[in-house]
Amino acid sequence: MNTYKAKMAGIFAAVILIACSSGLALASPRALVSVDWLAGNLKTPNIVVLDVGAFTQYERNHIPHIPGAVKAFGPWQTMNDKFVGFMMPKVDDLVRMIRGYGVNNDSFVIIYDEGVTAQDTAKSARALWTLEALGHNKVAILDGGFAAWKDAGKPVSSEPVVPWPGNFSGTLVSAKVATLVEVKKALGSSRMVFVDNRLPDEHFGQEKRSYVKRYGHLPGSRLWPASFMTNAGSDFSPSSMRDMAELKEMAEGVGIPTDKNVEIITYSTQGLEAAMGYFVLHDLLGYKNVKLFDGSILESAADKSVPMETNSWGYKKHL
Amino acid sequence: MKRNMIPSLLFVLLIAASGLITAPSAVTAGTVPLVSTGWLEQHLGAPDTVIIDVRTEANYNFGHLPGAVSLAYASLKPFNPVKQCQLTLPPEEVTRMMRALGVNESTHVIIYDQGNTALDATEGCAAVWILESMGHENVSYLDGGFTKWTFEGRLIDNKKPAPQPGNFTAKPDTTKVATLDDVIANLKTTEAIFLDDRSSVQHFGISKRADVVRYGHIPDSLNFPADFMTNAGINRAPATIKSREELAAMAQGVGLPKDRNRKIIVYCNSAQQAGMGYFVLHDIMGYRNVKTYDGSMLEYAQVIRLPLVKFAWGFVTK
Repeated sequence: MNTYKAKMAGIFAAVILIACSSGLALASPRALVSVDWLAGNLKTPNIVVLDVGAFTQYERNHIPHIPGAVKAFGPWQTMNDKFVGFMMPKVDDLVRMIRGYGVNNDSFVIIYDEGVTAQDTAKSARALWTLEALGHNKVAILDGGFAAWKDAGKPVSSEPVVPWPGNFSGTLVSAKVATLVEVKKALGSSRMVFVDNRLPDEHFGQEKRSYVKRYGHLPGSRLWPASFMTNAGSDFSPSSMRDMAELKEMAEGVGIPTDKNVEIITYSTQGLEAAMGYFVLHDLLGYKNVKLFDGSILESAADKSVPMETNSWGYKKHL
Repeated sequence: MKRNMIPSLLFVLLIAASGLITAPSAVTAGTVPLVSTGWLEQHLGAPDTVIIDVRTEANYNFGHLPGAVSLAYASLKPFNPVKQCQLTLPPEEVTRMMRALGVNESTHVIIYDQGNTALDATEGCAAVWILESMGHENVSYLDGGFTKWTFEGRLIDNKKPAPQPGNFTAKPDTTKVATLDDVIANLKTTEAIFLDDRSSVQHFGISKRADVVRYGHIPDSLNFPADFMTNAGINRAPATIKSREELAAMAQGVGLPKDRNRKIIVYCNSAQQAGMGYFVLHDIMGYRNVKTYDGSMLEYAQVIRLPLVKFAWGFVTK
């Protein structure tokens, strides 16, 4: 009798375990957590929630945020020493900054932003990429950001959060960052897949931001605008990520090979939208070798020796 | 510095002028597809020339090029309540309208629009296509339209000419228009290249016009947004047509073959942007077999069994 009970209990436990694990796997990939998941895990000890939304120094302790979230106002990107490119700050500065947000080496960091436009989500993606580039892989983005949190009627707080400094100790993982030198070299080989996460007009060379030196794109690059990756539109928010199936369809539809081992470099104007490309390709779709071109078009357009093409789509079939 | 600038300026002017004079005509011998404001000012009041203003009638009444007559673009391509899309008027109607404006068989028609944005320019270019598709080949488009004309301080007036009725008779030219049947047939034969002149975002299927019932593009379409064909843009006006060199580079850049004999079917939402694609490819660049799909996506998307591809670039898919 006892053994029977124990057996049944064992089977029951196993069923629950499988259900739970598969449930978790289905609900969201690890790098993307839902509002409900976060609401249920706010008190979990090793979770650190970072708010990377834009706000002024004055506002930062007063505007509403997710209870317990730390205002992570950065800077996540700074002007580099040549004043071209808006790039990753010095590693020491970053580590000190991230420690200041209360991040430990075993912390699960959840990042969120305003969540209204795809550009907002890109800020979270940039912070996520920065952490991963410092070797911290336990990091996720809150799907839909603060907009989704508020839409779901979850509690907000205006209490300033002053965290106890953490023991985070990151070092640069060079496999995450593509430098200008590397990009120049890779442009010569057809093996590297370049992904342009800017708008079609900018890719084609019809428009550019005034502070970008030249029009156009890196030769052969695939166009996948970051704004296509979320559900946000001109009159629609929150900026939640599109379904995995849709993202997979798009990756193929813009011409990225299905082989997950292919080498990819994402870029945009200043490495912000490119972080979305990195996040979707690496963290959501499971491409293993994705780098972000930190200097992006700001840096490459300022260097005349980098070829840039205009009046064309970078990657297309030939009739 | 200044001394250096004068000869170079002269040189530029010379090139511009020679370009105008020697511009090879892809349409009829003698007809230049694109005329400049300077040329038109010198030829105002020329015999057997009709200048048509395709802006709204309200704009026309407020002020227009001297001697121009009014024919709002929307009246050439009204909404068809049965087909639920914008279709070109039947030839009898076009005949009646053109005669009322004083157009003869021999008349040189010059069409202009607001010319401020690329969207404005699509109106005039599409009107050129409609006239050509109705058998009137002697038609030109004013580069930069009303905006360039007024930017340059040229005179406008608000007198309404009373033209003598013309003798033009519309003769539909099926080599310039694609119907839904043509498009369906081409889905199988893939003889012609589909060219989508909508914005890239609509092409990719991220957004659509509210009255187009489905997202996406016709399988294997190339994407050449009409917006890319003019010099207008964010903070840039007027919407003059880009240079031949730039247009040729772009045609190649979107994946079109160099072979000017390839069959091409251009489409967009309502055939307005496609009309511009037609004008640029056929009249300016000399592609000989270009048809505009009159019903375009407004009509095509309604036929649920017909394929539409979204979340992909037509120029990438195999």
